[in-house]
Amino acid sequence: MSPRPDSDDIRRRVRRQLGPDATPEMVESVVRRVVTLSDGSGEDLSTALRPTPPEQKNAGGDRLIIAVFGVNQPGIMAGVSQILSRHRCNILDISQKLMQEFFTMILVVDLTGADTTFEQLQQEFDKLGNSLGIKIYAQHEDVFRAVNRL
Amino acid sequence: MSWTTTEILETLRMTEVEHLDIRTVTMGISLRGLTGGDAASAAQRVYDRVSERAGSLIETVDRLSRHLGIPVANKRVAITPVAVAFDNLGRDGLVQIAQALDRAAANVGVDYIAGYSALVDKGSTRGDEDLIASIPEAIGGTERVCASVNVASSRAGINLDAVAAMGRVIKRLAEATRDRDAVGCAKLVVFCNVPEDNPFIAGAFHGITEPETVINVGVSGPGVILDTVRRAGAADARELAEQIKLTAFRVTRAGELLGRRVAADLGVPFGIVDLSLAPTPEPGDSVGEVLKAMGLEDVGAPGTTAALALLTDAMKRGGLMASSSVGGLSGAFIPVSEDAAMVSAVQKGHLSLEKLEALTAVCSVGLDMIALPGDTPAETLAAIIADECAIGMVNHKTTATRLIPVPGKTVGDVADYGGLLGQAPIMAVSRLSPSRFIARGGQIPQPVTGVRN
Repeated sequence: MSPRPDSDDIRRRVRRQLGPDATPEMVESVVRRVVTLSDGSGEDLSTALRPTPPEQKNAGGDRLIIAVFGVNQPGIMAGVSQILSRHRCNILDISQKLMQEFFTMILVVDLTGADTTFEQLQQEFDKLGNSLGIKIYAQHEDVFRAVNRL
Repeated sequence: MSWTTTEILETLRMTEVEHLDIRTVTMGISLRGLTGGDAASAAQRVYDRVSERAGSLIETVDRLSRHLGIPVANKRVAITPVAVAFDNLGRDGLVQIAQALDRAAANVGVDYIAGYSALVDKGSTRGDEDLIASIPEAIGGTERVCASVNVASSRAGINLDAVAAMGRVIKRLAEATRDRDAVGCAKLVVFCNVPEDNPFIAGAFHGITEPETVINVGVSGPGVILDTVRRAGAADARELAEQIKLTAFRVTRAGELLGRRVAADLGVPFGIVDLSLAPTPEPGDSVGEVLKAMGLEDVGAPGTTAALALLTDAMKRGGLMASSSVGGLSGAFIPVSEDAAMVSAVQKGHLSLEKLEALTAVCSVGLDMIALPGDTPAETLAAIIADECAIGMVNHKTTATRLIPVPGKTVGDVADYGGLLGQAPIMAVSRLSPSRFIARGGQIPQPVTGVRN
C-alpha cells in the first residue's frame, strides 16, 4: 500500500489536472476522490477527473427509507429482503414491530453499489405489495432530511 | 443519521396520505437580446430560445420527481415581459411573438407559457400600448400564452388610463373567446405591485432583474394544511397557527429540495420558493375547506377574513424559516373557480364579490377567476380593478384581478372550463355606475407610505 500523500501533494496534483477554470465545487469533488484513490486503490488519478456516468449516480451514499405496513403473513420480510439482496442493496437499519395483527417494518437501505435505480425498486415493491396485499412505501432519504431536520 | 419512527411516519403521511405535491416548477427565460430584423425573424429566435432552454425541462422534472417521490403537478415557462423585450415590433409583430411562444410551449410540452406582459404602473411606452391593444388577438388566438399587465404600485400609484384600457381589453378578449365562455380572460391578469419572480400562471413573468434562466418553484399543499387543521382539533388560535407553521415548514423544504435538484440538473440557478397555498378543483385540495375546518360554517361567514389572515401569516412564518429563498406571491390563493369549496359558497349565496374583495386585503393575490355577467360594462370592470389596486397600493402587497365577463351568461349560470381552471358560477356585481370616475384618467398618486427613502 502506498503512503497517504500529504495535503500539498494533493493540491499540486489537483491544480495540475483542473487548470485555471476550476470552480470551488469541482476542486472539492476532485480532492475527495483523489484522497480516496490515493488510499492504495492503485487507480490512476485521471479517473478522479472523469465525470460520473449517469448509471453510477447511486454511488456515494444514496439512501432510501422503506416502510412496510400490512396484515401479518408469511413472506413479507423474505419478499422485501429478496428484492434488496437481488439488487445488491445494503440494509443499514431495520426496525420491525407487530401491532396486534398488523406487521410494520421500517428499513434504511444504502443503494451504493446497487445494480438498479430507485424507480425500478419502487416498481418491484409495488408488485410485491400488490401480491401480498400490503403497502410498501419507498422514499429517498433526502426528503426525510429536508422536511425533518434543520 | 438515524431516523425516529415519528419522523418517518410524519413524512410518509404528508406524501402518501395527504398527497403533498409541488404545484409548479417554472423555468424563467430571458428573451432579451433577441430584437433586430423583422417580426418574423424575431419570432423565430423566440421559438428557438424557448425550445432550446426548456427542451429538457419536463423530462428533468419528471425524473427527479419520481426519484424523490414528490409529485409535481405542473411544469411551466415564464419569459421576459414581451413589451420590454420587443417594444419596437408594433401590434401585429407582437401577435407574431405570441404565436411563436404558443408553438414553442407546445414543442417543449408545457401547458402554459406566461409573460405576454407590460409594466405600466407609472405610464405606458408606445410598445406597452401596442402590447395592451394586441392582447385580445394575441391571447384570444393562442392556447397556451398568458398575459399580465401591472397597472399600479405602492411607489408609483395607480395608472387610471391603463386601468380603463384594461377594462376595455377584457371585454374585447371575452368577445374574442365567447364560444368558450370567454376562456381567454382566464389567461389575463391585471396586477398591482407585481412580483418579478412569481412562478404561478397566469401572472408569471421573468422579471427584468432576473438572470438569463432560472428555476422557481410554487409549493402547494392545501390538502396537507387541511389535515393539519383537522388534527389540531379545538386548539386555540395561537396553537393552530403554530401547527400550520410547522406543516408549512415541511412543505417548503420538500419544494426547495426538488427545485434545487432540478436547477442543478439543468445547470441553471435556483430562484425562489413561492409559499402560496394554491388550490385545485380536486376534492380536498381547497383553501375554502381549510377555512371551514378552522370553524366557519362556510366561506364568506363573518370571521373569514380573520381566519384567512391567520392562515396566510402562519404559512409565511413556516416557509420563511424553512427557506432563505422565498419569493413570488407567498400567501394563499382564493381563486373562485379553481376551488370547489369557494364555488359551492358562491352558489349558495354565502360568498359575495364584496366579501371576496375584503379577503384580498389579507390573501396573496386578489379577485381571481371571477366570472361576471356578460353585460358588465368595461367601466365597471375597470373600477373593480381600481379598487383591487387601491388595496394593494395602500397595503404594500400584491393584488390582482382575473375577471371574466362571460358573454351571454348572467347570475345563476355557470361557465365551465374543465381541468385546472374548473367551473365558475357567474357572480352578481353592483349595477351602480363608476363611469365618470374612471373617465377622469390620469394617475392616482402613490400613498404617503409609498414615499419611503
